[in-house]
Amino acid sequence: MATTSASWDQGAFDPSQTYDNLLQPVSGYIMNQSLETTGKPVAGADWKAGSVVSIQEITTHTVRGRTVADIVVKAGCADDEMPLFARGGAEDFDTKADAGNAIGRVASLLPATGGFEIQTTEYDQTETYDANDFLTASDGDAEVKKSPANYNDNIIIGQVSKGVVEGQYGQSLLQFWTMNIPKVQTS
Amino acid sequence: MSKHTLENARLLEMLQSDDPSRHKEAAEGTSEYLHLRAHENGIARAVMEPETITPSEFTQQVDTDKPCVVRNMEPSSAGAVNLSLGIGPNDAYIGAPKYRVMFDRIASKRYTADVAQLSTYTYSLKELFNELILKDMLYREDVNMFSSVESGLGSRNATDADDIHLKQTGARGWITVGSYSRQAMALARNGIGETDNALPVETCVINHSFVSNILGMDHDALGGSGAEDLFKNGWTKMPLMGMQAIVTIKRDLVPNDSIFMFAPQDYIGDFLIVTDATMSFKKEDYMLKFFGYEYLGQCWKNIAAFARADFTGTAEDWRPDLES
Repeated sequence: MATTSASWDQGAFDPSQTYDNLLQPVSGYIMNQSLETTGKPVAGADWKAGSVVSIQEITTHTVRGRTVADIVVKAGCADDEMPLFARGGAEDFDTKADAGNAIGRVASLLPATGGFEIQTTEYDQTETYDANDFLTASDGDAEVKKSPANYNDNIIIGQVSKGVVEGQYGQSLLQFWTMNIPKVQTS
Repeated sequence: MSKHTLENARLLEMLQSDDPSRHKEAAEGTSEYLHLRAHENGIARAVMEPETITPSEFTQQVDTDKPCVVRNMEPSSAGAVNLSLGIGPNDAYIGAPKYRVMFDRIASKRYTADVAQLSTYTYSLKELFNELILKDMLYREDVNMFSSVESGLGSRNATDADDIHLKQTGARGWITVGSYSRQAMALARNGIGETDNALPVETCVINHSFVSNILGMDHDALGGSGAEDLFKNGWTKMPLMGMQAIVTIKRDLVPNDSIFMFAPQDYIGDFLIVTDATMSFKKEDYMLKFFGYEYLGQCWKNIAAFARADFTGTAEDWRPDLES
């Protein structure tokens, strides 16, 4: 039985597995008790599970005469936006469904202020990460990135705990504590 | 003493017990009550009667852990031809389409209350739970239903050949039929039959305002003894032009002057329930937490099986001549 999705037969179908792109809370997450929310991806979004996203807009619909707000999320976050970590990708079956299916269609999101230690596959793999490195993100880019040295030059979305670790299926996962320190405005 | 006091006291006694089995008893008692109402109130459940399935019917998928059931669609035939003697027909290989019904939960908010304060309620706590939880879940089913249906209807009076309904069925899914009249009603009713699929129409959904406008039509428009019945008795459960009419107060889902029409359930898709409306109770010391949930799949697969008409504007054709 295969234990990884690594392709071994050129030209063969190689369906992605549910763990190829991943956000995994390793501590601080208590089901039904933690800070969490849900949102719909903005049209055309293709960010994966584990991405950093943020609110693009709030839309509303009416339920029994009451206005109900829905979060619509985009990839990445600007320096003054709340970072949200997506547990499902924009194209995953929790967030989308085959045509005609009416249930679900929302992504589960963990706000960076929730006090989690998480692992994600969606980070800048060209960098090296040491414990206590600050992490950042930019608008439109769903990857978690290493922050420049001066923490107040850009938003801080996390701080590295164990750094890059190997997941049970061989994935590279960046492990860090989430936080939200918006960019300090100097002008 | 309120007529609900004894019932409430019994329910609270079960919920306050330190014996977890009594909490289960309370949840089951309330769930039984919820099940009874669930089949009466939702539009979605009136259009498609839910079918209960078990997880053993799920089909495992490689690329998702989401529970799915694979269903078959009617195969399309290749047609028949006239042949001269001495030759055989060409080949046509059979390939029948399939589709997935995908499952998720609908849940209410999680409500909390101090048991001491709940004991002051003089009306039925079961009705309170029903009001708070079940109606919201049924409403969500209906919101999901209309969200899917409307996305399949395409644009009103569509003229773009790439309109989803026009492209897939050969007819518009949503038109204006003019103001209330017998002719407008007949035009509206014809929508589902005008598609290439030519399905029968069985059910329609209208709101109370729509009914009032029908009541305002004169004898000539309504015709026969039906006009007199409507004048005397108002709207009853009488059919509307052969369609079973579901009248709703949910104007945010079914706007004024609009009628949604549906083919028989077998043509529409699937409404599959694994866990019907169920209550979860949890008690920590004197604080009670409770919420309702259900686990289901709603698939409005066949866009030729529903149509919408608005009684406004000018009367448009279901099948537009896009070249004119």
